[in-house]
Amino acid sequence: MNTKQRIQCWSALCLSAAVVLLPSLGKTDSFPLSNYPMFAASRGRPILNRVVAIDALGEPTTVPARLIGSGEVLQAKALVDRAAAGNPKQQAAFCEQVSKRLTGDPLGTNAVRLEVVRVRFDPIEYFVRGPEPLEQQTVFSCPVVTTMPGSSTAP
Amino acid sequence: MSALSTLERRVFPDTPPARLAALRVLVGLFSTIYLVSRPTDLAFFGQFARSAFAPVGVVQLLARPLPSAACWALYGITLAASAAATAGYRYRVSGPLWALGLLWVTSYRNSWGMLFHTENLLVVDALILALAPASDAWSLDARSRDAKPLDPNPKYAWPVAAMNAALVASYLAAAIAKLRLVGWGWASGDELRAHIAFDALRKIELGSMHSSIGAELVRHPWIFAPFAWLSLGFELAAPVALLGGRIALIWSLGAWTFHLGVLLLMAIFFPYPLTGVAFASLFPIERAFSRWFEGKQRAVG
Repeated sequence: MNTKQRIQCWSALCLSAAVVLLPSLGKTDSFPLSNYPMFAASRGRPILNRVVAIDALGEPTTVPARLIGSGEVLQAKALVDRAAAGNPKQQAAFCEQVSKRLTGDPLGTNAVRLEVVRVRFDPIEYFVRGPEPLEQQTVFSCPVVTTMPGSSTAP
Repeated sequence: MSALSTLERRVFPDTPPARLAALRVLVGLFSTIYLVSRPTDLAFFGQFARSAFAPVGVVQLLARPLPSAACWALYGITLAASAAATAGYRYRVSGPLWALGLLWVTSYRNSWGMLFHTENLLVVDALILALAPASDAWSLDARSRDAKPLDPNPKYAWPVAAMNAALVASYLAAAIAKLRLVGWGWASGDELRAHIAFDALRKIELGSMHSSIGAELVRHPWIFAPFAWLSLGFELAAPVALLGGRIALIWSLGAWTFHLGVLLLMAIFFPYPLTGVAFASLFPIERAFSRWFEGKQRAVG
């Protein structure tokens, strides 16, 4: 390997390492260059917004991510968070979309109301003592409007 | 022989064109399968409100989301370019088109409020390969030129060195993030336990599949300190993998086991490292494939 080739190889190695490492010194995550915060940042006692379907007896069932709008749980979370922080029009649009997805799903058969609930948990205690939230608050709720084949019902 | 020369011989070993070609085929094949298997995740964004658009990376060039037809068209072009680059067909065009398309499509997918961290290294590797003479062997281009077998040359060494550097730097970056945000206390295992608990909780409460193994282990705090030490140790030790040989093999197995642990404890699948493709540039991978490829070429020719 001559001097020019050595410089070429060392430059490629150092440049590639620097480009990938540089974001780790900053605070902003991006793609494809990341500061890889996923297992590093402390979680504490996080607040979650979750969607529950309430049946006629008032029993809540968690609405799965695929019915919220994305099979990817983190994208579904982003959709729920945005609806929870949105205005009434955005919240109504969210309800309408989830209601549509409930049509034809077994969960939609008994659901009469959707609620977006803000809950705070202690993640460790959730598994050690039980899934009781530290605090809980309904952000918004709306009736489920499911469209059955050949009929149109609105509870 | 000086210590620097010894180091250089290990970090930049004689690299035949077939090694770069094997990496092109492996990474390209992975990319093509990945694209084929996730069309709706990568091209359909109709479920998201326009207000959810939060562009990252190159997608920050856009002020608003693209029309659906444009997303599908870009996805289709990227898929075709990925297949062409894998086969080494008109690589000077298909290689850059593949890498830039993959960069765009994956960045766009990450532009809806959540960064996934699963395709980062794949995209970086594709960008490096696109700039490299990765179709000088084992390619349709080489066949059409009726090219003679080429000798090892440093022009094939720098892309492999760049891929290796990106690989080890990504693990080192993850360690730096832990030390910067939490400090050496991360090695106590408390943060790792909290992360696994949080991940399982979030998936249960958001109605998704979680790891019951991870949820069960949260009840046993003593187990997380060794896990945390091992994770942090392998991430910080990543640069030793550049020395190649057995050291690279041991480190790769450790990193692979880490990802297996993430899959078992958090139900998070990192396909690029778990299939081994992420670590391939550390090894003379062409030897494993040469019989198969050369046998095929003889059969076709």
